[in-house]
Amino acid sequence: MSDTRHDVAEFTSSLNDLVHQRTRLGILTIVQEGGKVDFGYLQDALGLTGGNLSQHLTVLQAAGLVHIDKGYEGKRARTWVSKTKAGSRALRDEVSALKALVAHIEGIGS
Amino acid sequence: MTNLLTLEAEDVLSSVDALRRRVRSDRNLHWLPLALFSTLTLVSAPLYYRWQWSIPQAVSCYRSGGHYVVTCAGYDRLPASGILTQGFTLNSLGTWLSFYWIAGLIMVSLVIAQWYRTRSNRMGLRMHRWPIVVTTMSLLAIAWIKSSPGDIRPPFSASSHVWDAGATPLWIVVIGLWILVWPERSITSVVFGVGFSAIVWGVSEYPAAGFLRWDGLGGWVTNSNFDVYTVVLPGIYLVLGALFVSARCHDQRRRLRQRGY
Repeated sequence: MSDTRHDVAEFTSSLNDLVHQRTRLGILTIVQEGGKVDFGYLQDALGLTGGNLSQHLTVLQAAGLVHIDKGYEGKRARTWVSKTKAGSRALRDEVSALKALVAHIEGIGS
Repeated sequence: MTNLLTLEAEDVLSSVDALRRRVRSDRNLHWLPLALFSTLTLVSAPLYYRWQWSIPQAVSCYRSGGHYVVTCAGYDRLPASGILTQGFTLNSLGTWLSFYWIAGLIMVSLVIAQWYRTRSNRMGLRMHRWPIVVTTMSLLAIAWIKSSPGDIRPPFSASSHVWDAGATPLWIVVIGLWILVWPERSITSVVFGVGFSAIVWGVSEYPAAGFLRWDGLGGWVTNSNFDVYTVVLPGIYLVLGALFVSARCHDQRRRLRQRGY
């Protein structure tokens, strides 16, 4: 039993706290698939308020996981969010860790 | 504890997957380019028709064996009258038809670029819109230069040194569709692209008479290596593709909406 706990703890420790947060993982997923994504699109897809999304983006930008580009299109102010190499890697690692964790626990159960 | 962990991890993975599907579904704008290319292709079909009434009785054409050699007696007496037949000869697609394809391909690529621009601005997903225009223009320029080594002549004529089977415009459509596969990022568009390439290759390599043991419709042959089905078959495939992609995209969005994405 203690061995099992130890194994699971090993898998959970491989999860990245910064990315593991569900909303941030969602932002990285959308940006990974979409390339350059507008702030409004992220807000709509994740069902967040502007302030909430801004906070998450600030954290991800500070960690170098996303790139934020502010500008104008005509008279309309737009904020575009795009991925960085570190962001793509972090997302890939996180998804792999989660898959490995699920596979491991299912292995214990069977 | 472990069950809770599994449930949470599975739930997160399922959310990631649903978000990925949503973005892909939103990027799925392939149906309009397919519809435009199919219209362009199918509308060109009647232009390949060599009107019977415009050909004097003295002109008679026949195929020679299984080879796609059309021999015409009285060929030199063919009138160059009528807007559709102007410039037509039995061995080339003709000036008028060439310009139809040039204007059509340029216009379609510009409409596609505008479509991607409008939709990506509205949705908030930036998509590159210029590759399709740049590729089409470059291919047209290459075809033009290659077809007129000594003098300025419209491309796609039978004297062209490249793709002289008359299927050049279709190959430009093939390459255009492959360019659009990148922003789509869907397996469907890749599978569709492979199928379309195979069809265009098939119709340009094996004209109807040899491939289907069918001698074509009387008068529907304008080029020694070109039958009207060369454009009809790919055109129909593009129409079916546009309908399929549109229906699939609609269905995907409906399912995602049901799941709250």
